[in-house]
Amino acid sequence: MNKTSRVALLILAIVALQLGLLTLPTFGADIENVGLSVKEQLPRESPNSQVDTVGSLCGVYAACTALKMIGFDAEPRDFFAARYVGKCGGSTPEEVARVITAAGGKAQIVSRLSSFDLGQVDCPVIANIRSTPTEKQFNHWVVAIKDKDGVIIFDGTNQESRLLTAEFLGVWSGLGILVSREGENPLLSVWLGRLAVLQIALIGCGLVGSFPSFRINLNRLRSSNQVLLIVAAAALLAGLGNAVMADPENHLRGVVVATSAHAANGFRLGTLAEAEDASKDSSKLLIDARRERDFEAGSLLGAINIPVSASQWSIRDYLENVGRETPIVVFCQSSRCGYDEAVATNLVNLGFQNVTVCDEGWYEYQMKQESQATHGQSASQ
Amino acid sequence: MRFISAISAMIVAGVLLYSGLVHAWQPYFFMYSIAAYKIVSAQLAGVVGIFIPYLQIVLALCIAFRKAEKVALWMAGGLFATYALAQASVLARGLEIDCGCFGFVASQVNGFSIMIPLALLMACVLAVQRHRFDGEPSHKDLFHKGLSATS
Repeated sequence: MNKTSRVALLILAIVALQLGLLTLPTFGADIENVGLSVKEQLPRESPNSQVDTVGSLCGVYAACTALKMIGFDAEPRDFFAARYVGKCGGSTPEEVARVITAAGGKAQIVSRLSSFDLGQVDCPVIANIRSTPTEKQFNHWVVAIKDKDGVIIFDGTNQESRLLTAEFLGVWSGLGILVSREGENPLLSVWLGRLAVLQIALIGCGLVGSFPSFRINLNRLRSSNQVLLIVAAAALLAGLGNAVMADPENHLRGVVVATSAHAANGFRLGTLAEAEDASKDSSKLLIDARRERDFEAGSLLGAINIPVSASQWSIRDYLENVGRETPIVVFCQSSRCGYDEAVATNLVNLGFQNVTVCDEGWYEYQMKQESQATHGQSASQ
Repeated sequence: MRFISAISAMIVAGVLLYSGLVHAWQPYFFMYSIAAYKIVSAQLAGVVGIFIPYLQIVLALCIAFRKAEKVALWMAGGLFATYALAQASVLARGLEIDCGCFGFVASQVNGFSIMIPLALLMACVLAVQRHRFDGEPSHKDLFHKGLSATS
């Protein structure tokens, strides 16, 4: 192969690579990953706080929220139909897009988007995410808007919350529905952004390669030096690549917060006596998982209220200054209420390592108190 | 055999490049997949998750352009062997997690997912054999040599 054909081949390879990268966001969706939960169950009030407010209707809520952001008047109630929510597990991307087009907007389903792409678009993006970091399926739809401090999430009827880009990218499948008005093409800015990065990278490589001192014949080096050079090149690329693709400013915090969810080992079952101990011990945290009005009617002394409806993100903000090693005891109404386990799951997902769920609750505590009072009275008589 | 080795090398390079690009595109996704294996600490998963995709890209380029190819193939083989061992340990511990093999596609660790790195490891071993034939003349060379000898 002569020099000209080698150069021609190299140019062809670069063009192919560029085309490949530019078309990486593919239209259509990886259906097997999207929207459908493994357990097909009837819509109901789930103990899972993330889907508590909207359940299988999260796609419709997200679509209506995005539509309102670009000036359309869309009410979720108008789209509570099988055409838009085909299964109890939730809407597919096509069904969410159907809501948008039915309301007069334009929807583009794009998969394999990156954080960089999210920063390029100037329209609301409906993102397909896991409802919790340890959830296996991407089973939830939210509206995501990237700004310089992270990603703003609009989750159903919950208030907007802010996530670190690192946290968001950990639960996002890369699938997004770009919501815009007819005649607009937000995907164009994604392609232009990618093209700009690729050109800068290629020009950088060309400049580095033009210096004679960088022209190393790798094949003539000793094996150990070849390994060193490969590792060094990868480290250099990783540094440069992550400066663009990741969230360098919040990187460490994001990694620790989000990966610790996987490192945690779940929660254990405890007794009511442990909850009573925790109420007297200031180094422990006692959490009442019942709803606000039940908590206000009465609770264990020293308990704080994190209701089952609280989103994981709001719990994270609320307990921001609590150490991840702090012993936490969670209880709810009675032995079978399930709210305590839902809140404990969220706590474990947030990285709390020492979470205990009570096998009994407020009802049993009151029964115990009453029986003690009765025994005390009969003893005094 | 030379042809099979060359094809194996191209397959390894292609898979490494695709996997590396997909993971580099969405860095935290791979990081969390590594953390879910519960083999390294969460912090170390953060570092490994950033570095490995770019190592895969560099190895793919080395193999494709035949620069330090043998070393790159051995390193790629080491990576695939590590992936297979990690998945085997997940199965042994009864964890139900995503394998994190190709980024966005959520596929659970199972017997089939272990076969992918093992097959790629075999491809690496086959591709390394390519160097044995580098010094030897090809069929085309032998044909031309035969022609010149007869003339």
